[in-house]
Amino acid sequence: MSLRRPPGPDVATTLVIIALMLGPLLVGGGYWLVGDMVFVPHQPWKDAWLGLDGSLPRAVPMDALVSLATQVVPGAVVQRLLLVAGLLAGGLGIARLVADQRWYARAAAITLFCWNPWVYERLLIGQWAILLGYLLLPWVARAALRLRADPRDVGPAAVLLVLSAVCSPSSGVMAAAVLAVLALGRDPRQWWRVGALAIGANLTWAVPALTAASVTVSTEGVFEGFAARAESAAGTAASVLSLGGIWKTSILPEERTSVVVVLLSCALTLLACLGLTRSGADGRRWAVLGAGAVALALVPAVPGGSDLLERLAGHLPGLALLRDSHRFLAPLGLVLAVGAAHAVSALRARIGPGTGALWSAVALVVVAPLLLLPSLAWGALGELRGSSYPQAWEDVADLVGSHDTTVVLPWTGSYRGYAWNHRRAVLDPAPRLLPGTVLVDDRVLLADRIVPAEDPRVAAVARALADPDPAGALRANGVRWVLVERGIGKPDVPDGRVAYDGGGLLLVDLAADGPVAPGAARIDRSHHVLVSIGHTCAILLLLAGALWILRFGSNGHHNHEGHGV
Amino acid sequence: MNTIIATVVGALASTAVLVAGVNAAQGEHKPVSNEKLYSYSSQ
Repeated sequence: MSLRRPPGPDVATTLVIIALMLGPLLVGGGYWLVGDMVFVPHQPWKDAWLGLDGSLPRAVPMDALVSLATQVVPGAVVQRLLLVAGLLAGGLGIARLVADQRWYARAAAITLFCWNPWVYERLLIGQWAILLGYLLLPWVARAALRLRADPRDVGPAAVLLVLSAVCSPSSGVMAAAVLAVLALGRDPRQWWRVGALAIGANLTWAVPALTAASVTVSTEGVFEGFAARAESAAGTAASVLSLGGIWKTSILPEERTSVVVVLLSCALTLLACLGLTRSGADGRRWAVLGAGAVALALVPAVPGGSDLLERLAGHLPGLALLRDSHRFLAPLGLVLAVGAAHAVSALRARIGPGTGALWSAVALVVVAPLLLLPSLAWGALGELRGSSYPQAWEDVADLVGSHDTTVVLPWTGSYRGYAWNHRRAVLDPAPRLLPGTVLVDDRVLLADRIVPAEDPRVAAVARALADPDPAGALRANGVRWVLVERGIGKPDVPDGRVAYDGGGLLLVDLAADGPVAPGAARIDRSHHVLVSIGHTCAILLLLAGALWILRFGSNGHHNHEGHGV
Repeated sequence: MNTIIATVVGALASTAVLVAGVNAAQGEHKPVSNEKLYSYSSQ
């Protein structure tokens, strides 16, 4: 059987998925602004985008790339390009991973991989970069299988690991885990090779995180707060096994609250697991990968699990990465998609005289992900609606200097519900839209607890705002501007000159009433050097991997028939 | 055999379409309520 099949059906299936999912964004204007998904027309360059300012690297270096991209094209275009390219990469990647299957089997893999509750929930919570990391996983898996077949075939793995780490820290960790499970064997040199690749690729965010000495990450109560939840009466395990169960129940699609739908989704999971048994020698590795993802997602949800993680996190700070462990369910989507392709092939193999109706079962498996989650269609059936920034935002951005510090009010969390954004909760765009240092209250307000601020500057601003003379206290902390976002609370505004008032924004210049203290230099030269070394390592790894691919071609110099890659 | 297969597949498909479709259609847009405006809460 030829491993090279025409990609036409794969492209067509993926494009249909993209059109169905992102249709309103592609044909309409504006931005999708929801949860953590914040794109702005022009994102000015800041040292923080590379983690050079000592802040916790939440979106390092993705923010740097988005900032560079918006120097060339508007943020709205960047958002569309990233989402479309990500889904295209995901669809074609999973199809390549099961390239030895017929087109309808590959279509089943594409629909399940790109259209499932995990994708819906991460999109609706706005974690687009983590979604991109997920969509790269098939390519990571493909690179891993190649690396196992030929230990010299490190180029694709290097490139994919760096790209995943660029998406988000958790994406980098997940990619490394997928590579390890699928590529490692008994050869100790392979362990060293994979370990070196994983560390080198993830230095881009790990070095800023490890050297951000002035920032502390709180783990108190967060594991329980972000634990996977039951979406329906079928329970948490059923939700997780069917790729759902996110902690943020407010974004759940209505159909996922139905026991019938969740159980039918579990039936699809079961079918995919049965398909995995036909996936050849790699079946056990796929099973380990899927089981590991489920276990990780469920640990905080089982009795005592979150307490255990909290205790462990006291000794292992890196464990804080697992606070939303449901995101690490992503590899299960990859595993189930591979299984679905093999399950469809198994159904097809049973078609003969008298069983022609099995074609309908094949078709059902292909479209089942869409039937079981119609809410993902057309901008999540209107949950994701286009919005445009009022002109005031760009006017204010023009007034603030690149060395100024701005405090954003109301000082109550960092999520906003602007009227112009259909009152959807979205991360405050000011830090990305305004130049200079922009401080918002970055405490995370959960239903029953508050996760404290991680940046000491935020705590200092909170104290200054509580001072009898907040304007003077803010100036003493190096703050020149106060940006008040109107219509979402009535904060006490420190005294100062009103530099701008309109379009829902009020910009107050504190410098008019007294000198502003110079901002404290937060980072020493050694931090700069270390972070730069981290980025340089990742870039060199990326370039070396790319050169390797260019030299030997995307299929390497050896035959990998056994893995369908 | 074909009849049985077609019946089972048809039942599964129609159940999925009906239950998921009706639930999805009943879903309402959820603007942020005033008291939850700043909250990253699960509600």
